[in-house]
Amino acid sequence: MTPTLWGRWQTRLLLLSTVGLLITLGFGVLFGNWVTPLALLGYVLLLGLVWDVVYQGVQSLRWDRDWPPLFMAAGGLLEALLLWGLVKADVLWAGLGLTGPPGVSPELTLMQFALHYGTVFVVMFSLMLGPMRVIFLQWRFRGGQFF
Amino acid sequence: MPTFSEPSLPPFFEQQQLSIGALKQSGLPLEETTYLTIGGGIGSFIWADHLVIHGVDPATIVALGLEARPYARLRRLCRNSQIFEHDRLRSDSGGTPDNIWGWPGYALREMGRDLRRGRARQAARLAWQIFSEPVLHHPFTPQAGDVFTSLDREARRIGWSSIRRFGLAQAVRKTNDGRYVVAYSPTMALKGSCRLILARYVHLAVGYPGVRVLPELDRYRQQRDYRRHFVNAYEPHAHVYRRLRQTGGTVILRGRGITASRIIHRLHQERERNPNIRILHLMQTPKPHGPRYYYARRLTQNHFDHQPYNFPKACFGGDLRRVMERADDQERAGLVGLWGGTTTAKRPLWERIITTGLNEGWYQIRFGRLARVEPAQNGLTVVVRGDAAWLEEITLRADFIIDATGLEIAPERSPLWRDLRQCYRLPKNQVGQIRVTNHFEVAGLRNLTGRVYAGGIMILGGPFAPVDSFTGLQYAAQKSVESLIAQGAPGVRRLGPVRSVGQWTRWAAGVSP
Repeated sequence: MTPTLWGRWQTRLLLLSTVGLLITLGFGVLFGNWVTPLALLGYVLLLGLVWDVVYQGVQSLRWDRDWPPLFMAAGGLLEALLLWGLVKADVLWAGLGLTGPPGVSPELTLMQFALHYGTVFVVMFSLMLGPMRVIFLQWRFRGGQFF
Repeated sequence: MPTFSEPSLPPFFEQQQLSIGALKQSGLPLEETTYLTIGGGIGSFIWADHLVIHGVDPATIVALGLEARPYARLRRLCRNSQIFEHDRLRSDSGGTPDNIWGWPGYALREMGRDLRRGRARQAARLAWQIFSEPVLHHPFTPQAGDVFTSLDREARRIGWSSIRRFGLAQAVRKTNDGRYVVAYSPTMALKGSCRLILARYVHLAVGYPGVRVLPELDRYRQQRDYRRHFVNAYEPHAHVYRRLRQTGGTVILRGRGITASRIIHRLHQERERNPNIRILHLMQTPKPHGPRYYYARRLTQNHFDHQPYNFPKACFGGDLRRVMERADDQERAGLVGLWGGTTTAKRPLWERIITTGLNEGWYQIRFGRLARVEPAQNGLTVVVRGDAAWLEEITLRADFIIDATGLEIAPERSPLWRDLRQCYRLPKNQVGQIRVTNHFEVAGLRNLTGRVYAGGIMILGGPFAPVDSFTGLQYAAQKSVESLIAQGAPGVRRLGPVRSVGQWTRWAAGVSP
């Protein structure tokens, strides 16, 4: 599947709001904190909408206009690094009069973040490489779009 | 081959619309079905597979063709062009003609097989390949034998042997009750035997009409003196390799697509037995760089245009697919020329062969056209004329000429399409193929509630660029099924997420749909 921009947005929204949400609720139980994982999920979604525009731009530079699995993985890692950087950008948040991004506990550890983010990403990544084609027959032809 | 006016067809087939009464009175064997696909190859198989999985009773589907196995012709063409069961086709892992979902792809299946045989390292290597392709590794392509075996399995699952009917379709006509009648010959003896079959929905996937022979070469092929020395890559030519292995010699190769690459590979294999084999690759013009589409440019090396598949990957299901679908006829023709054309895949082994051959001198590239060919003792004398700027003529002695310029695609070369075009004045698109709607319907053949769909190379230049690929045939089948669902065609049901997963589970278990 080689995504279109609409396809990226629609697939991201669908997967984060279904399997992403379920996994996040699981981590909420595990961490004893519902708000932080849910807030992180929201940030992944919002920042991802912007990242997708960048990815689409990079994709258009390629003759095949494809988005190989390696790029998907690299994109996931970049998004994680940026999000973690934002979570820990104390100077930035202090300037805004906050202790951190709204909803995210200052006690969030890198291990917790990596576990949560990593699980959501790996499950989404695996679904996009195969099972999504089975659930939505036309998904692969429509570049990830549902409508 | 029989045509519109040949006597093997009943005289009333000269009309555009036939009455059911006349058909019944003709005395010819007449049967009825709901869905009929003509061709019997992989295009027909994929269409029938889609119908059955979407709920149609297989007893209401007939596939008319000449071969028992849907891949028989593909396998023959592959073998002739030196692609054997263990060799890899130029197809994406997810181009799965046996599986309408495209998953699991052939790479995953090959990994599973390796694991079952205890070859964990090979499986891991494959996993890395499909993860890193095409950035760090050349793209995975399936082995021809795996594709054929998977088609056998799916054929058994959907009951293909009951769907498939031996017959050569000669003509299709509209009937006065909104259906179509197809006249076909049930034996290889074309004249004297004719049967009729009525269907409400017809699908045409007859494939390539034949091998392509360049006009400047055609006249030589007709002469007996040249026949064994002048071969087409898609026709049997094993004698070329046998002879080269024994005595060595010079081969002039025409074409620079994937088949030419495979022929060079095959000749290189023979060189390992007999180093006295030389290849002169005759190209009409140099190709210093590939075409550009917005910010991207296609890779070109040694005058070969490289791309993994016959069209950029996004044509199979990304933004380029959408661009093609939305484009008008004129734009589509331009895009087919730009994205498609003659290209080959960038495979490390082939690159090494070319580089080594160029360095060692046993592989050389010349630009020009074959001006004359004359028989010589055990070979040919060939005069090559350079391009117009130089008007250089060189005379070469060659043992063989292998023409790898491709297959014929013109509808006029297909008796069935030629007849249909003559009878119904079907319009062509700007590429010169049959014009279809975005649902792959041949609009000029619409007959009340009856519909005719088409797939494969005959509709190149339509709404989907790689139309003769496995994925292209699946896309065309899926769009035509969407159209059938919209019309309320009998038995066809939408495949929503739940039914889709259910049907996939049945596929995985090998249970009939």
